[in-house]
Amino acid sequence: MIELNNITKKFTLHNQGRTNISVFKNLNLKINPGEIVALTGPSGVGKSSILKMIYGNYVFQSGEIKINNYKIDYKYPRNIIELRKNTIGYVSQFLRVIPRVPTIEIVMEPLLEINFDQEEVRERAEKILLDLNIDKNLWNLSPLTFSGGEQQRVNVARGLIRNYPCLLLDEPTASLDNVNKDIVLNLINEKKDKGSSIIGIFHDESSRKYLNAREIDITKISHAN
Amino acid sequence: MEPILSVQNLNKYYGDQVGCKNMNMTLYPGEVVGVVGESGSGKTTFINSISGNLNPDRGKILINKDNEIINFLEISESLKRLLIRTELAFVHQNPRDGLRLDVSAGGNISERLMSIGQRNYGNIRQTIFKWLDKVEIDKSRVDDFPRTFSGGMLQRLQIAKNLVTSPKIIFMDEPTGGLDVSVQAKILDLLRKLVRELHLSVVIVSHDLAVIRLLADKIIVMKNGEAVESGLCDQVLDDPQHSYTQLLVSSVLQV
Amino acid sequence: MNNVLKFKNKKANVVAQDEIYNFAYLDENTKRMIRRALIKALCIPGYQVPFSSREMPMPYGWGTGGVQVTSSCLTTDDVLKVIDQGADDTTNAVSIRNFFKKTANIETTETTGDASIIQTRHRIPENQLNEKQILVYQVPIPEPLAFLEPRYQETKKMHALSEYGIMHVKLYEDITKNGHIETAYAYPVKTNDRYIMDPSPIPKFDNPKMNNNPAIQLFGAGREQRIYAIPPYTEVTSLDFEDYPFDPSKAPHKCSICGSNDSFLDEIITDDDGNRSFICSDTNYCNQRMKDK
Repeated sequence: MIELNNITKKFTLHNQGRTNISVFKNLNLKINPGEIVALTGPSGVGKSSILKMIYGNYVFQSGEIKINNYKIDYKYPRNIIELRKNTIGYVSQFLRVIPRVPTIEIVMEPLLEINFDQEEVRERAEKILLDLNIDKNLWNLSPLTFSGGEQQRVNVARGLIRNYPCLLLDEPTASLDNVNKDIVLNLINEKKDKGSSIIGIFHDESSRKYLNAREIDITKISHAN
Repeated sequence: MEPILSVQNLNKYYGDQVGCKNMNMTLYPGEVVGVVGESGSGKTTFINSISGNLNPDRGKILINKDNEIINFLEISESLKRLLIRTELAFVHQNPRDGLRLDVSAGGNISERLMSIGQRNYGNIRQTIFKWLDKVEIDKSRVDDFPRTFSGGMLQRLQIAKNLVTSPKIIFMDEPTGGLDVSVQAKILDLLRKLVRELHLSVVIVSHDLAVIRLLADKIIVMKNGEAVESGLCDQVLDDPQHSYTQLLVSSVLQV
Repeated sequence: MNNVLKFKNKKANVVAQDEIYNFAYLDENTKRMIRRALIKALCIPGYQVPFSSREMPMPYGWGTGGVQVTSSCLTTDDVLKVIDQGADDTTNAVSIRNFFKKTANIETTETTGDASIIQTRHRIPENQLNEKQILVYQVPIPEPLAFLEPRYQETKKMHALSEYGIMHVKLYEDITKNGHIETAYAYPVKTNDRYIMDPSPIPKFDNPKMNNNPAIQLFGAGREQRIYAIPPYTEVTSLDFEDYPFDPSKAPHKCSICGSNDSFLDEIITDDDGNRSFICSDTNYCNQRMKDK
């Protein structure tokens, strides 16, 4: 379960005349296990920022975020590290990896944190790559040279290889063709059925419908400025 | 879990000049802490002060060795040096500083083994081969002198030399500093793998935010000898709170 | 002063010119200083004691360290033997013997068993020494770590903290390069299970003789200003690996003069065609055997 209570978030740009940009005021949000919440609203409204705050990546000024009753506090990075290791999975919009590391190893990595059986982990990584239609010939190459859609799927594979209690998805299907999009959406549905609390940003209506997601328009729940 | 290394209120002065002051850090097993800042910000003073290369003026350094807390600044010189060769390792920016150039690659790797009492040539040789393999140096180079190695290979050799006795805490000062970009990527990949496989705890100093982003879990941003901001690595880099961190992050060229 | 008086009393026929030297050349204060260093060295086997080395009337490298130690140990009753690479009759040995004959007017000998002090360059005599004897080694470079660690301050620390891993690196390199430990002289030893010591450039064949030797063994390095020692009956072990144990090997020949099978041999080229023979390096040992026959 993910809970956001009375969140205030602003950016202070010290080097640009101390400009204050207020993003959220009194933001409240709750995602139950086995539920998918889709954030909507015009671009720039802070959809990604919500995911980043939940992931501990963005600081918020007041209010509280609880993951399975555990409070996120950026002052205790150690706890956020543990939380990410065990509880929160995150599929970001863009793939960010070390150059030259083969795809298969990138996908294996999250699982290797909790499972030390290289062979077993490799098998699971191969399976999810197969499911996502990543050509076998590409597995031993770095994804940095792949097409946008392929990179996206590698990113999804890496994010979904484990069963996290909470999943954050930032446009996981943005650059995918319809066939692959359906595959990814089905994988997400599987995670939901396993009881994950899922919050995501899906740019297209059809995806949100397909996932049977609860849509939340951010402009309606937060009162910035 | 207890931290494996904890630095409390550490100060190091050069005469009246501040090297670093009021530095705090906790490092947990398996964690990587990155220290960033421009040249002259005190990064190197800090890492040298906590690794036994420099004597800090004030503060505490606590090392957890098998659940026994060792006060690093108060133990005898002999115990300190024993810790330095067994529990700690230091990877220099310039591998030539950490290697013996007139000793073969294998000999370099063997030194720490023999200093902890290994006296079986055959076993030592086996361990050397295992480590050459780990750092991806061809076995056939085992008896070659480091001066015949490329920069990237030298750095990998230095890493092997340091890690052969399975130290728990690794200090790295700009480990990819003098290397060209493609070699740098390989070293970063290697370091990440080793950190995970061997469950290493690492303090790494770099002025390169991209390097720190890829390797570090936590980050300390230094300016004029002090930490201006610290926290989760990606949080500090993506949503920096201090004006100096914001400046630092916004100064990086986007590729 | 005492020594000077005794010296004058004992031998009345000393040439007048020689009386300008104190007994055994060095002044009494210097000898006292050196004796203090020697006692300290004996108390801490293998530890290098710094001393204020004096200018001697011979160049560095000719045994100035050994000569100063010998000078400080000599009494009027001593019988001195000096060997160079085992031989009593080479320039260096003859010169040093004459030096002390002249300045101390003591008795000298070539017979190992008759000597009370034996100054040596690069050998240990073949005959077993006894409790009444002192063996004085001439040492060029006393620091066994010097070739591996050029920083003197650092080597001192390494000794103090017994950080000797690097010593084995040298042996490791030997085995790697040659398939066996190639170091054949100045082979490093551990003394009394504590300090690693350079035994001076004696052949490794002689290393076992240092172990448990009844005689006092003193080492003097003049240029480097260091004195170290092995007290009688002290354990001295040569460094090695479990799977490459120390091997005090020698040339696989017999002495072509006395036929000895177990003494250290010098190789002699006998003509322009490259013919060679092997003879005992310890001349006294060889002569003795010939006499006994």
